[in-house]
Amino acid sequence: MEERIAQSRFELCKGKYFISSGEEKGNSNLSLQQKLEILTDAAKYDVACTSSGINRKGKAGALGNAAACGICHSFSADGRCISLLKILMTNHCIYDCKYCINRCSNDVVRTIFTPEEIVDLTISFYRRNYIEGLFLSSGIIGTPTMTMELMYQVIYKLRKEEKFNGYIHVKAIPGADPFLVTQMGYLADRMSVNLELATSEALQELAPNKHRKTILAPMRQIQTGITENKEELVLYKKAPKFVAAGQSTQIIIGATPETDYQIMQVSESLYQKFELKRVFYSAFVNVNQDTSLPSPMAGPPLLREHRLYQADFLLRFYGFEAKELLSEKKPNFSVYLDPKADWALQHLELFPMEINKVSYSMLLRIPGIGVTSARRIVKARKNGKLNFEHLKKIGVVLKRALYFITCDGKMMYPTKMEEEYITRNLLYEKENLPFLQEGIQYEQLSLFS
Amino acid sequence: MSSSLYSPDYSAQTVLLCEDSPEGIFSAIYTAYERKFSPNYTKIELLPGENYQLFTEYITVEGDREKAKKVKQTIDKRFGGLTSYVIWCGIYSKERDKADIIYHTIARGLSKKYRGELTDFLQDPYIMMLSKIQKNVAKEAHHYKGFIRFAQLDNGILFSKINPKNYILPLVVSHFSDRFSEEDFVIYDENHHVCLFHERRKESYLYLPEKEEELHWQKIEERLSKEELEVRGLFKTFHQSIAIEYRKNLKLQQNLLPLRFRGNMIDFL
Repeated sequence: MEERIAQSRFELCKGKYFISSGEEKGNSNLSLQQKLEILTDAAKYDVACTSSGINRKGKAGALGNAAACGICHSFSADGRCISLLKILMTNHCIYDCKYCINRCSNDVVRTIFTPEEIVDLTISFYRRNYIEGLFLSSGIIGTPTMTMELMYQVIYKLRKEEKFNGYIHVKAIPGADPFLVTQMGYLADRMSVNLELATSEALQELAPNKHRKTILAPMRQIQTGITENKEELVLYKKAPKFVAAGQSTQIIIGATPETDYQIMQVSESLYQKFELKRVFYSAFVNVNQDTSLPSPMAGPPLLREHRLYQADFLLRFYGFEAKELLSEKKPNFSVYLDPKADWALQHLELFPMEINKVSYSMLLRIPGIGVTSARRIVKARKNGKLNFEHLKKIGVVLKRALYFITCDGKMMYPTKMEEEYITRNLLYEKENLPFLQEGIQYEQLSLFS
Repeated sequence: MSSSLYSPDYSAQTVLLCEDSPEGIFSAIYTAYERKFSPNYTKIELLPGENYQLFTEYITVEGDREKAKKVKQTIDKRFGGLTSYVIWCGIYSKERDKADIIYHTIARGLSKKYRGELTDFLQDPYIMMLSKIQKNVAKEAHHYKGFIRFAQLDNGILFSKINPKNYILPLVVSHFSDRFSEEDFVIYDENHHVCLFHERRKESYLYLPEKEEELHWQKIEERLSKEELEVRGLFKTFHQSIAIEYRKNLKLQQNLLPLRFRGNMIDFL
């Protein structure tokens, strides 16, 4: 009965919207393939597409499980991982955000999936091991609440009727009824609300229909839900789980003139105050050729995006704070050096560090030494003093670290502890960037200005 | 495996030859201990053996289930979960010198020179080597968890053909039987001539197919139904539309998804 009501409500919403916009004509005979093409294309700029954060065993009578490490099922031509079926439910949208290809002022073919179509696609792809689960986002059709309701039907059908036990990531639509967000949270593994832009001024300028407050409200609601759910689970082990893989968000980089420092501060507070699992950064692509935004000719700011991800990892796994990496005076990351090397060069008084003595948290601050190497060093040095030969053997890459460490009081080569000398040497060793290989150009900045 | 990584500072005086199977390798290790050979002067090689050396005694060891079982029990008892997992990964490796590496790692472990988890002592060349080949195997197994593609046959069975370098099927059994417990599926490893069978809600098992069966499976692509090809078409559409033109980076794609996997992936057919 409940389902019947939901179904009729779906038709009603659809009808109401199409009647008001009058766009149903001409599009009704799109094939499933065409719909998939349109709604994938419209969803591709969303980067928050991981399948990680939860381990869930298969169940009798159900299809699927989930692995906390995440599994990549394929890679697209841009080198990004495909793990979830990333689609929009519809690309109809009442909003007019300048950066978005689906904004209502754009003349593009609009379409909508029925819940059955999404469920069928997900199940048939999942059974063939093409995907790890579903990532469902949507343009705003009618009202935010109506949109969220339609999305809820899809997820409900998938989880309850088809017994789909794989990974589900759903967008919470800002401004939707909080009750729906809660209901969705019990079915989805991960939820995300896109922050879109780092400052509220930028948001106002580019997305006049969106407000910082309405974006943060569901984020806070999900956070509170997760915390309460954890307490429930302590008391009653079989309590239903709420957004068990946590929530994430994404910020568009390079559409508006915020500095890296501002962005890092926002990310830091999202991690600390909203307990997000991930903040994703999306290099801005001017898909609409909008003249008020950076020209698409220069290409997306990939290097900047890369630096932000590097710094993001420093915040999450290396115990750094945003204000250590950047400041009002130095608001952007270096083009030439990664944030950690840059930090080390500003703090040469701490170096060289003695590999056999310094704590794990200090090891993590040495350029060229990551979590894996630091762990190995801590384990291996229990069994005796380490020298450079040992470090090589246990797989620590010394190319960059050698300027910052001593083993048993000795450095690998005679090294001047001077910023300029070390910088020159570090630059000599080319950094391994994922994208320059194809010859994408980036703006050259003066390093020592 | 390149010999520069570890160069034994002795020349072996006894070489035990065994077949490339868990049973064979464990039996050889058992024999080495049974005859009280010193690990410093003993090597284990897979049949038919490497270059024969002078002044070396060659002994061929027959695989023996009982002996192998005893070695396995010792490993489980003495080393704990992680190390025995690493050793098993080593056994499934494609490397020819794996038997020797495993033998010497076990010898190190039993010598009581090291305390704690054996696999942490990466300063030791054999343990480091084992850790390297283990990583290679585990990584390939993890890749295949994502890159395996099933095709649904007319009788509803999901079928997949893979060509891994290492013998990874035992490492993905639990993943796939858990994920698709309600399905009937077959994963056929063409390189190692073995396949994984899973029947709905039953235990999975490995099966060594006959020649005719293999020939039948190799041609299965030609007999797929129209519906199956439609689903493939849909996924290819998805795969193409999801890429962002401005970020196109085929080299990065190839680094992350090497060409050798693509032969069996419908994404690229």
